Amino acid sequence: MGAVSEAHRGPRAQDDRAQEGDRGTEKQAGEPGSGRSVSGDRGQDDARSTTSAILNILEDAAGEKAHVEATQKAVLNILEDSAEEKARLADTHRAALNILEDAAGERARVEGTQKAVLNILDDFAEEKARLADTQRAALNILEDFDIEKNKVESVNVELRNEIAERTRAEEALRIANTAVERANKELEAFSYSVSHDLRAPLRHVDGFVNLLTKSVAPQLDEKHRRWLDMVSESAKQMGRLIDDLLVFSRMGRSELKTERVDSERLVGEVVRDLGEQETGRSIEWEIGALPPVPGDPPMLRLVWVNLISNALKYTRPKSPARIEISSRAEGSEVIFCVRDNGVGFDMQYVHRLFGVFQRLHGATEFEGTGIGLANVRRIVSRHGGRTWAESTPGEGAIFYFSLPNGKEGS
Amino acid sequence: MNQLKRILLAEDNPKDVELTLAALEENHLANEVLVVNDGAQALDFLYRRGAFKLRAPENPAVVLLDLKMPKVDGLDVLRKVKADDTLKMIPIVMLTSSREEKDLVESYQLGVNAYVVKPVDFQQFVDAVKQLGVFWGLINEPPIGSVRRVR
Repeated sequence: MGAVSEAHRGPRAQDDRAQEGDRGTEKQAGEPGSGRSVSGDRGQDDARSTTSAILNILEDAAGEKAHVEATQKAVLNILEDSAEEKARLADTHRAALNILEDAAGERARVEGTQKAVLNILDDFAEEKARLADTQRAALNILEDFDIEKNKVESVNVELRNEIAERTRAEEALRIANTAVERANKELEAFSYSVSHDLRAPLRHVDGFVNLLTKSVAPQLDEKHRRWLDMVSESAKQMGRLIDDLLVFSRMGRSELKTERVDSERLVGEVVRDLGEQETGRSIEWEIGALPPVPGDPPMLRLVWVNLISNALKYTRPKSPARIEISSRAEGSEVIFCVRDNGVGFDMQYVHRLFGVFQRLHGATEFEGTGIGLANVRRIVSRHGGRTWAESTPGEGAIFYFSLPNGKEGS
Repeated sequence: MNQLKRILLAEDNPKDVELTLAALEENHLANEVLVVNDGAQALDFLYRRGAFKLRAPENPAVVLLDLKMPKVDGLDVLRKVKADDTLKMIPIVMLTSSREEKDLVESYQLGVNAYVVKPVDFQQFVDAVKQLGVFWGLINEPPIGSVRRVR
């Protein structure tokens, strides 16, 4: 731009100088006319006038020459100026060309830059698209997150509810346990009281009847002695019932101390102990393989004692008595079986068989209080097993009980 | 308290006292028995205090203790006696109606010398008390400082 304004200024400066030159020429033409004067002698005057005219002319010519020289000088000046001007113009031109050249370079650079910018913009667009994709993906993830978060929250709520529920259940269980513990303590106190306090009067009844019988027996007749015997016998029977009830109660509440019980050894011992008491009888024993089971040893001993002593008792009318003890595996259980050839029982009363103090035979026929099978059922059921029986009256009975074999998953 | 007795019977029930004495009488040991009616009296006797402040210093040859008594029960008496160096050698026999396992276990843990459940059947009761009296009163040699048997 600077170069362009310089180019404009140039020609105007030239015009200014030309006008100055014109003014200088007019001044020189006016001066000779104003210096001329008119004289008296004509010839002389003429000569003088001619000489004067010639002088004037010469003067004028000299003036003119100076004028021309000045003009020439001026022209030369002008030419000089013009050469300078030309050089300046050439410079300007060159400068302009340079500028143009520079401009072209600049343009190319600008174009390059523009292209680069366009490329960048292209890249930007791509990047933007990619960003949009990413953003969409991020939004989807956030959405999923939200869904997931909601799910987690609802699960949390469920969990909290469950925990609250469980806490409530635990509290209820704790209260129930406390109640059970209290009931157990009360029961213990009760049976302790039964054990100690109920037995004492019976002991006194029997004791004083006995002392009375001893001291007055000679004065009593048969009937009165029999009555005293009945008082004594009843006191003893009640003592047995109390003892049986206490054992039954203890079987229900005492803690199970479970260990591996060697059934064959246990049954062997019970058979030997009970068999020894049956003097003078012909008894055929058949004892099969009996697997070990987890259980409370004293309690399981009581089960076998009850079943085997029952078998011995109810085969008393038979000779030989036949008692078979066997077992079989069934699923996760072992089923034990005691079979005898005794008097049996009527199957229509089978539901009463395992009840407390329930008897299917008269006391005069077969002794006993009727607690044995109740204990068997209670003990077996506490071990997680079942009890049942079959019989044909007069031909014998089969008593079964099952116990978990203690092997998981079998 | 003039005559020294060799058997101290702590029993609150008079009927049981009479039956026990009747049973012991079959071995002529009833005269050897001093009866107290609760655990507090038993301890007073053993520590020679209260009503028994002036008794002779010898200890009984055996103490028959009922488990369930008013004030101080049999287990408390047993606990005190067996924890006392001057008394712990006195033989103590629990004579009780209780067949409860925990009473049995606790008595032996406290160092009881014998535990006898009184049978309902009087004849069995007589036999049990007779054997007790014979063993602790006649057969067993009591520790030094016990009342000696008058022959």
